[in-house]
Amino acid sequence: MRNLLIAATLGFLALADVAQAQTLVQTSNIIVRAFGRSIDFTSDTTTSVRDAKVVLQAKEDAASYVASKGDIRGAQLESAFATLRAHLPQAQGASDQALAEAILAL
Amino acid sequence: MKTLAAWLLAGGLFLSSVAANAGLRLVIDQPGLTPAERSATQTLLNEATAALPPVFIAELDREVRVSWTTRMPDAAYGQASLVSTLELNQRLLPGLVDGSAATAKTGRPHGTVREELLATVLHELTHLYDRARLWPAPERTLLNRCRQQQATLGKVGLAQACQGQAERRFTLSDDPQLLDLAGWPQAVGRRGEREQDNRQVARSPDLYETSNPKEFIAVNMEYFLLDPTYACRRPELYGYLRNHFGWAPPNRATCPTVLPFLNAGSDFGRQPLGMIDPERVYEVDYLLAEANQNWVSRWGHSMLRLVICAPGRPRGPDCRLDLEYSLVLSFRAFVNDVQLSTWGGLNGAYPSRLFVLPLSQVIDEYTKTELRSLASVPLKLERDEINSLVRHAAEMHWSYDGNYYFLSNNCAVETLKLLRAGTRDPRLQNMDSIVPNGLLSVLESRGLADGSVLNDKRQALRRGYLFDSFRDRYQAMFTVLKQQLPIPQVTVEAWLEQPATERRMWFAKADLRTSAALLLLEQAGYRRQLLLAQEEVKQRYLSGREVNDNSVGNANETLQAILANSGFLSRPAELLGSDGYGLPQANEVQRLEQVSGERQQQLQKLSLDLDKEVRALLTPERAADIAASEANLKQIGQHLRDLHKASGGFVLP
Repeated sequence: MRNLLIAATLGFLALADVAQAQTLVQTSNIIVRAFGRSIDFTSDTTTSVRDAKVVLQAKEDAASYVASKGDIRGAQLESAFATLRAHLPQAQGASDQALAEAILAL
Repeated sequence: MKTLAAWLLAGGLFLSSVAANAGLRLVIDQPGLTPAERSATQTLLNEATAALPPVFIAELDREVRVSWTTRMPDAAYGQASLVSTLELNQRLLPGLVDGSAATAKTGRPHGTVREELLATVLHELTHLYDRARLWPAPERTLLNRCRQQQATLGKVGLAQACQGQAERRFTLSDDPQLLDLAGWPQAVGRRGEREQDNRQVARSPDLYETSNPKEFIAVNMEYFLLDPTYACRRPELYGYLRNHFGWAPPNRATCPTVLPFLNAGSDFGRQPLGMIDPERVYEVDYLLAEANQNWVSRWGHSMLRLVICAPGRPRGPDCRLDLEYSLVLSFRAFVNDVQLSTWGGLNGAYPSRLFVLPLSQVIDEYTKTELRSLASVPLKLERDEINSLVRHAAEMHWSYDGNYYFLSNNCAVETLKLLRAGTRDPRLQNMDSIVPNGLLSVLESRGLADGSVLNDKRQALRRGYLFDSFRDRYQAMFTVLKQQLPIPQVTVEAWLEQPATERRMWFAKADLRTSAALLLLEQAGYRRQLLLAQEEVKQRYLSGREVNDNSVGNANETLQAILANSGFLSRPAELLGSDGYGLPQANEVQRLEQVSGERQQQLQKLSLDLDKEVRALLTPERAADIAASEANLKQIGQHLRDLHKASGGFVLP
């Protein structure tokens, strides 16, 4: 039978579940992020390339690269190299080491 | 009026031509009807017949007698008997005759009472079609073969293609492929047995469809036949039905090529509504976070990564480095809360939803905060498998609301179900692994994943097949530090445990290379402080909340507000009204953009408030430690910049 009442009851059941789910959202991670946001390791100049997420996200990879003399070479750094070389003519001739140092000095 | 007349004429012609070849005949079986009632009923039936697929009419070769009855609950529209009668609710007849049913709104997706009546006829006829075992010839051959095979070999020896086919009794509603798409997936580890409950309950056009597979197919036929946007809202089911009937309704809407999703990333400054174009997905990776000692992550965490190409880049291997465009599909339970209980996890107390997250955030969470590595292994899928997997994932993102069981319905199980239903790859059909690391090796052994990308670790790191744990990096940095400076500590832990002010004394002596190592170690120290602070705040917050401690009052309110407001990211369907179903369409997307943007702004403001308030919850000692650690980070950063400047190194403009 095609009955509309059944549909309505099922709808209420589904909603009750939602309310319960809300209370379980990760409290702890919200707190960690609250701290994480309030510190910024970079200096305060803003231009497009420096601000590019892909470059900023490569900072830890860049530190690892410089400290390990190129031994540790992560994908985020590789991605930043590609972006910089694609958008900055000056970066095309620069060595990996020079670019890694430049990212590290942001 | 003209179009209606033309339509009726077409319907009538169609009906008469079908009658000549037998096939389905709808006959009014009620002598007491007035001419007007008879004519209105006939018009309705003609429309129903005109809407049905030709194969449906030809194969369902019988006369179905239609009548109006008072023996039916008020809320019901109609009901078909097992074989050949269809009764409609007499209460609705006057409205059909005087035309008011065509304007009476129902508040449901079909819109009006008249449309609902038409849908009812189609719905009930679908039940008859489903029960009539009208399999197309190739399918019938397969089913016969499977039946024989099962009779001789038993269930265990059944070939892959026969799984779930040997005992078929319905034309559509027990088809394994339909059950996968509809939301009754195979329960993993139970020899193909299906899940009992359908959890695809969000954005359903009519929750009645989730009561059982027979109703599911009947409800979906209503929308397949009557709603031009069905193809866009439920693309996978549309494809399934079109394939079965070898036909589709002529009035299909043009669907956008992109699929909407809500990005659950923690960057509240960004518009959370995004679009995925399946054609821009180069590969799908199985993304596995390595296991650690924590009991909830003892088997690792399994996810899928969509390797999406940057705009303008042709699809190809270079897309693997477009990291900022990669998205991660992750079934998550809300398990990081302090209230996490073993009992609750084993019993499915945690909701499981399909989150879409930016890859960079997932890398940070696992490799830097949890110190677990991530392996990203490409799956060997055909182009059409990738497209349908992405579409299915989008449908699940909007509709799925499951329960998480750490043992029987964990992330590996959910990911396997998603892969199965999304790709229909036969190699996945009788796979039964229930733990994430186990799943990867099974995928490899069946030739579905290419684990060889991990063989050369350096290359894997470089190409983004592996994101290493920062535990290893911190160790490597400490080794560099130890080589370069005469520090007394012998372990990285001992180095990090000393006060920040003592570590700081070494900064001035460090060259560029050593400073780079020091920077990473300072970040490690800072993260360590944050984790300690988090634990303390959590304890204080929870106990303070109970005794109504005023100092936690403000943070408590802000935190509660964030919780209340961030729920939408985990269940995106909440943002939309109940007038649409399935994937949101253009007008809904507009509304989504606005509503999710507003919520996000509110979250942004709340999180800024929390940043301030949370600090007030710290003990003075912890606050001092964190401040010292922050000062160290600033100082080593400045030292690095000074060295770089002095060396005349390349500067980014």
